[in-house]
Amino acid sequence: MTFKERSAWIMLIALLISGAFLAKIVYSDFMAGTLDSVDFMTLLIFTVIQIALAIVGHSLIAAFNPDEVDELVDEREKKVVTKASHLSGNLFGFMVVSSLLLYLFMPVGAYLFYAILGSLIVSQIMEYALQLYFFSTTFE
Amino acid sequence: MASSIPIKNKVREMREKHGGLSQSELGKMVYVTRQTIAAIEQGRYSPSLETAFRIAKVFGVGLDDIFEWDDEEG
Repeated sequence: MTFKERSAWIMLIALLISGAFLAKIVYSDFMAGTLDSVDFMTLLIFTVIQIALAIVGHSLIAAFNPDEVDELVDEREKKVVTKASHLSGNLFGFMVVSSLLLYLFMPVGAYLFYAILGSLIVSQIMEYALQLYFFSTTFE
Repeated sequence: MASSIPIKNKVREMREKHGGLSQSELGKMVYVTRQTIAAIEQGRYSPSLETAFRIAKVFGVGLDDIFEWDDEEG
């Protein structure tokens, strides 16, 4: 497994954990009918979790694989990253437009905010998942 | 993205003929990772023309001696 693959795993896991935390809080507030404004503390905790997991994870893989850290990204990795980024970008665009359409029917600012934030998180999860898939399968 | 790549190669065979060159060593010589060399040997990735030429140059042979179009897959 290359450093790039390990990095993708770290980011995927970090996003799943922090995203699950955020989704749980937002869902709870939505079901309780209290999701009428953006909770900055929740956002701060989400951000800290995401950053902390990313830093710790990358530090660990760098510590155990010091020779790979400075390796240049090779041609296959560049193609994988580009393709995954392109596809996840399409998903992000679709979800943002869907969020905007949702706002037309549910004009609550907080809903729009969390819908777009959720779109970003989901598209990033998809990007790293696609990278891992392309790394492991036949790729042209 | 094709299910299989229509290009066969003899990279592994050439590595073993050249003093058991490892995937990692070959990768460093042609500026790709060991995993990319493994993917090339397994037919999961087609190298760029530049990388293909570099590989051929390492073994001192022509491109046709290492890479071959597979009519069945193509």
